[in-house]
Amino acid sequence: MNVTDEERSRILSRAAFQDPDDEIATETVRKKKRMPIIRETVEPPLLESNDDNAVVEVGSLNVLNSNFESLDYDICENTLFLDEERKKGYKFIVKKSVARWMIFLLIGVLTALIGVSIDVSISELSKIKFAKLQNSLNVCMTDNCLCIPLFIFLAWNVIPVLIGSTLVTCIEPIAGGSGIPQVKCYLNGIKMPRIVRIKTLIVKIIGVITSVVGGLACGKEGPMIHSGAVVAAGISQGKSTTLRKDLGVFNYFREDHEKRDFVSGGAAAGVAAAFGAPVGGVLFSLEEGASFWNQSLTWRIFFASMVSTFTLNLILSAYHGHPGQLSFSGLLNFGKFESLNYDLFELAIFVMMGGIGGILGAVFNLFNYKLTVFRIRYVNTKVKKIMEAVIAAMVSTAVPMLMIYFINECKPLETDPTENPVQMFCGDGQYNTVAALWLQVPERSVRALLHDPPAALSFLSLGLFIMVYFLMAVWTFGLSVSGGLFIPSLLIGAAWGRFFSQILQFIFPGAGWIDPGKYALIGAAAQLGGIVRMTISLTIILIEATGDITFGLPLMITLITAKWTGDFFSEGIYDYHIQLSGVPLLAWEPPPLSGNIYANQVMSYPVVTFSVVETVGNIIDNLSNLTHNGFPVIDSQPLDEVAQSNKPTSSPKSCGHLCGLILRDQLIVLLLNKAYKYPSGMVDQRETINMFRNEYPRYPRIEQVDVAEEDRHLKIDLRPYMNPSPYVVQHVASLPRVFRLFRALGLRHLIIVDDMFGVVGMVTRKDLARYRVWRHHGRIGLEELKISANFKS
Amino acid sequence: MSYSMLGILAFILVIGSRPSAVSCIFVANGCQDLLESFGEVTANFTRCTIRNARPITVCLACVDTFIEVLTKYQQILALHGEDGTPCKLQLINVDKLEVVEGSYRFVINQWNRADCNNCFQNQSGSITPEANYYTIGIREKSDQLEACISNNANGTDPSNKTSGNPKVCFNCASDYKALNDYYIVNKSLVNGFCMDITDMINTTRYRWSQEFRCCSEREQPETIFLLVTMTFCIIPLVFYLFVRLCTVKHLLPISTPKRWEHYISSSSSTANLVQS
Repeated sequence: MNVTDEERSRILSRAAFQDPDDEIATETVRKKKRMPIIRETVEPPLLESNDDNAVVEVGSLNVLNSNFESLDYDICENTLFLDEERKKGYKFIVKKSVARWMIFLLIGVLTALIGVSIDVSISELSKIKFAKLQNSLNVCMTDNCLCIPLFIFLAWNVIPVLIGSTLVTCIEPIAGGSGIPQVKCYLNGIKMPRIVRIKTLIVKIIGVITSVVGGLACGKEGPMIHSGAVVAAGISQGKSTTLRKDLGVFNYFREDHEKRDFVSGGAAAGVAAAFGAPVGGVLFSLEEGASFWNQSLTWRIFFASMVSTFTLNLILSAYHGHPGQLSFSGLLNFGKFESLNYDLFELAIFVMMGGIGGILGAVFNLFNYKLTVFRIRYVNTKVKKIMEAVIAAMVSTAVPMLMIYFINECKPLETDPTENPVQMFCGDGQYNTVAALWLQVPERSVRALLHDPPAALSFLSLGLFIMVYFLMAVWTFGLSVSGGLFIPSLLIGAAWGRFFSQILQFIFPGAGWIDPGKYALIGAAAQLGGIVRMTISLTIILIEATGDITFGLPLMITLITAKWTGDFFSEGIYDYHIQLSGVPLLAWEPPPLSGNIYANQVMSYPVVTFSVVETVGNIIDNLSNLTHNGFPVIDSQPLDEVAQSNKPTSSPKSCGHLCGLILRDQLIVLLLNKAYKYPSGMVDQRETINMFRNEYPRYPRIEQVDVAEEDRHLKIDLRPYMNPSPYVVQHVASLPRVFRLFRALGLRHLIIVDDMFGVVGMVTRKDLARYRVWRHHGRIGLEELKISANFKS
Repeated sequence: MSYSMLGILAFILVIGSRPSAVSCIFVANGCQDLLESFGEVTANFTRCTIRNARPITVCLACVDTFIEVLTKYQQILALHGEDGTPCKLQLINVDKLEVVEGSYRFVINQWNRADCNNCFQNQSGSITPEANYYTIGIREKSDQLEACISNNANGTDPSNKTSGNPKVCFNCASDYKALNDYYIVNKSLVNGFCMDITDMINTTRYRWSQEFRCCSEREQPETIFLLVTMTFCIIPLVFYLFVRLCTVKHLLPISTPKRWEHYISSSSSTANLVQS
């Protein structure tokens, strides 16, 4: 028999505030008190739900993947940890501090080196490619053999993309895409599997080089952030599981708390290297991981970002032939603007452009979302994914060639800024402007659009370019290749910004304030803001990349307008991809108006517990049969039967008094190290906290534990190893309270206790993340997501 | 240059401009005379450049006047007046207006903006009025082309811009190609040519492409190319259609995690049962 929602909420709220001795308790409650107590041994009958065997198509936005775990940000202060602290003393603290600064320095330097190598490889390979193409085109124009440059272009596009896509699909799928959503989730506190391995880094670097050289509509900035994160995670641990080498250093950093801090620094260094924006990098990490932040971390991250920018600048300036000039502060270089002055009335125009950027961004995101859902549902084998990428490369060859062939727009040669001007059908001494836009690396196209003299491109060629590139960018993001989204968005935005300024020039001929470069920059900012919807960090990144703080006000106004306009229609693109992957991301704040949802609705019940001295057999059985990762440890005192029977049956049953919390990984390490051989109550001398640290981060699974039959009755004392003071919350706490505690402290498990402070339930990330706020078309609402364990995406 | 040479040069020039002047190694009548002659040569140069503005023949036509300006200025810097003070101190850097320096800078600027130094031979660091080897070579080729064009363009109406002139295109193609290639090859060898030559090449190219329409043979439809590119554009549609029709959809099983609500509902349902 189904209970109505109304009745259910009535019961739940009454359970929250019921006082058994309350004189004005209602008749129903008194009647309930006479009900027999449901014993723990009897399996409580589950409601026959019509949700049993429910299925949902893959590619839904409202399903969470239950395989994602939180990071263990909370430090487990068991006796081993306290022993280490006591033994090492203050010198150890100083040593750790010095080590931290050194590691951040190394993170900055290495991230910059990776950025330089990516940039130089792409530069050199592209130079060769476009020079060959230019020669071939110039020769074949007169000899009527245009198929030859077409096939050269095709070879230069398809072969790199094939290599890159094969690497990503077959060796490390998590290296595909931009990497920013994965880093965002990691900084949010979710354990993203395989995201910070060396294999991922190598595949990512090669992948991004091949994608950009292969002419796909993607950029190299997003992958830089991911690379920075991997470098940070790798260096700070002092060991590599991929390469099977343990250097034996930095043992004290081998825990989630420290690793996450380093990864924040690595991501910031990546942003700094990619955009030449150290402050933007710090703010990016701050924006994504703000809840668990501290000031000394900010200082160290800023140091890493500055080191990264400075190193990149030094090396790139030397590469370009002006060592010491330090003019290449980032991989993305907007070039030097002579003047970025604006009048006050232009702010209104900038707001309008922000609105246009928001709408175009929303359109982009919706198209890409639909395409991604299609890909999840239908392009699901490796062969299909690689074929899709190769076909995208083929179309990226055919479409530019067609545009260059059909649009015959010529400009005299002396005014051209391109390296490889192509004559096509123009007269001698002229070059084809459409070819100049397509046949170069996308960054140079952005720079050209920002700095070209007015009327360098006609309405037709610019308009056609915008539409074609927009569609190609929508198609390319989400392919099984490594590549970011920043450069294509900037390019689309710069193109329509310039188009807009040419329209303005048409309406107000002769007006001196219409500077195409300025409008191209605003258009680029608006488009980028409309697509990615990042707030503080994007503003600062663009201000720093432009190099002009006085232009900060227009940029901020544009970005704010673009974000709000876009949010009215759709989500940001990274949010779509995160939701489609079923990642339990926690928002910055708890859902509004959710104070009437209580902890006893949020929690999982009943909860499996262990007693302080537990048999090996019980542990192994529970670990093998269940997928839980955290187990409250209760004492074995008998429950107060009278108190229990006085509780109304409409409140959760508690298992016992809470003593601590122990994790699955800790139990497995204990079993592997045969901790049951030693009598309880004595911590063996050779056991130290390094026993756990050596297995970090990839703990063995329960199947790898081999315990003999005769040992199953032996007992382990869990008290030295468990977390003796886990965070608890009473079952009447509201959802916002639970959410804030969970998010601010970066918890993985939160134990729920009843009025007698006995353990009743457990809240994990999935339990909280299933309450999600949706914001569409100006309205807000709360939805509850479903959970699936067999996620295939 | 030594002072003696300057003096002799000055002597000759002074004699030339003022036949009644008293001959003297130093400048007669003070530095004012120098100033006047400097004004004259500057005016000559300016007049010459303006006369040769379109088509640009500034460098080749005005090189003599330029050299005169240079020498005059050097004289001002080097020679002394009657009372023994150098003319430099009287004329240069004495006031805020700086007419002499300004005019000199104007002349030098004009000359350098047109890159005129690239067309002349250099002798011990200074310019001579003789055109250098490459300039002579390119002018030869240009003259050859002009001769060919005038031979072949006789019968046609030059004001008819749209039809072009196939006779010129056919007969003069080799001359044109020789000129073009010579320019392209040597442009990078010698730091470029002076503006005269560049302008000449630009005008020739413009006439070749737009007036005589000799490049229209480039625009021939290439069917194979078009077919291949169109095929590439259709392939993705075919791929997606195939993938859509031939893939079995996966379904995600939804798990129901254990919640307390399920237990209450069951207990309350039993409660209701017992009560009733």
